[in-house]
Amino acid sequence: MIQTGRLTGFVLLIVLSALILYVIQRARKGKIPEIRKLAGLDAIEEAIGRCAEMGRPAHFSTGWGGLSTEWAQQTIAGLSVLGYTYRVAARYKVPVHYTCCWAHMLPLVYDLGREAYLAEGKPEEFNPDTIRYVGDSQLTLMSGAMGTIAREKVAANFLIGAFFFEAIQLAEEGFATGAIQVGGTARVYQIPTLIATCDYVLIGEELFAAGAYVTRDPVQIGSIGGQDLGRLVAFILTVIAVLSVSFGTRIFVDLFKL
Amino acid sequence: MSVLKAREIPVGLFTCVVVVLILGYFTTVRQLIVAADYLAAFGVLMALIAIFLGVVDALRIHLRHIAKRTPRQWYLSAWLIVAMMMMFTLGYAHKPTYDVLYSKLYIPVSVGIAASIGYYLYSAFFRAFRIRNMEAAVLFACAIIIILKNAPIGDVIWVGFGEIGKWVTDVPGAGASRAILMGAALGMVALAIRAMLGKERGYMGGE
Repeated sequence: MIQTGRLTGFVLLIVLSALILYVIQRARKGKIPEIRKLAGLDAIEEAIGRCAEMGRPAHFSTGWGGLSTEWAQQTIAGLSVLGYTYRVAARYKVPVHYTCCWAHMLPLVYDLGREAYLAEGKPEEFNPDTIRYVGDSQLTLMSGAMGTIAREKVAANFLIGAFFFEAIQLAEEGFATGAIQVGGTARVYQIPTLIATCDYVLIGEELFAAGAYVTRDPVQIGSIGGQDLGRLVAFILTVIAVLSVSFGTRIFVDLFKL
Repeated sequence: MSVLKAREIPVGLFTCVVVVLILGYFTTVRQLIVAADYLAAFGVLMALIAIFLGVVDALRIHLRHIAKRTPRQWYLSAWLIVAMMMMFTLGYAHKPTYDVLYSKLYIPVSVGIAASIGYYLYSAFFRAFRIRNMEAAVLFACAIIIILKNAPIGDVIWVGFGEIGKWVTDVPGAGASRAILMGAALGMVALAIRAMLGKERGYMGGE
């Protein structure tokens, strides 16, 4: 019934999902877990405010990951932050330029922008021309986004999603225009790049928590609490595995090969 | 509310797709494996079809820029449309010319853009490596060791750079990477659950 070598993974997935659902249920009853502050997300309002003061627009990119690849979850997380950024931008009357490299994301981004401006009571201020499709290639994303950042002289640059080697160029172009930069990715190879170039960075799971964090919705915050509980389970399993291997037994390691 | 605007429909579809994909991966049930493969292929196909949407959208925006004579933009929009139409037509009408333009113009320009990454990396890391605190000092020391491990001159200066560099990569480096990956994996599970509950809606537009 279960494929060889995937039984433990399947059981762990069910256990972790159950833990997250349990904490969500507790949050629904009013027991909302405490979560730490994420400086990168708190900085979005500051960055948009700076754009308003300087009279310059902001730029947003969710990277080359798209929604049809294994990196889709990071793009979804990036889109959640984009929705929040649109709302803040609508409040401050700041245009947000979005460079889109995947055509299948266009309707989603249009809808995100439209609904965010509508929610802020300013639907007429949403400008669809700020969402620019530049082609599905990584190189067109780089040149398209760099061109927009330079021409529009953006005062804030948000790079939140699944980034590949385009991250360094987009961030350096943002630095050249003097933009305040917020980065975020769960791609291990690009995290150092964003840390070196951005003012604030969402690392790994912080990116996935972003959508829940900005909404302040108790149920969503509950899922972050469940995520932390899952991390505790992962930590305990890691310690047991290390100890068992150190004492010369491979039973625990073999368990993960079932 | 119209049926087509109801949030429950996309959320329900999303949940069904996720369950089929997960069961197709973990179980040996042939029908589920076939369904999961079909859904994955369907997703890629839909993304490809959406390219036409991208072309129409690009034409709409850039034609408007030309019509409005947007300063510092309209001539770039005109050039983009001319280039796009030229490549599209030549791809069907005269393949040899298309191939020449692609290999002798597009590829070198693309390589040039990609090559500039080297410059940007150095300028970014030069700023990052300014030693302002203890963490920056450790980062700087590790970076120098890794550079000397990979550069041929490192072995000439001292053979120990290879060993120390390998340790930095395999022990603290790999440990930190795995911790980030584990956290990210848990984050993905939480995000999928939120999406199945209809709370995370980034994938279907709207907030």
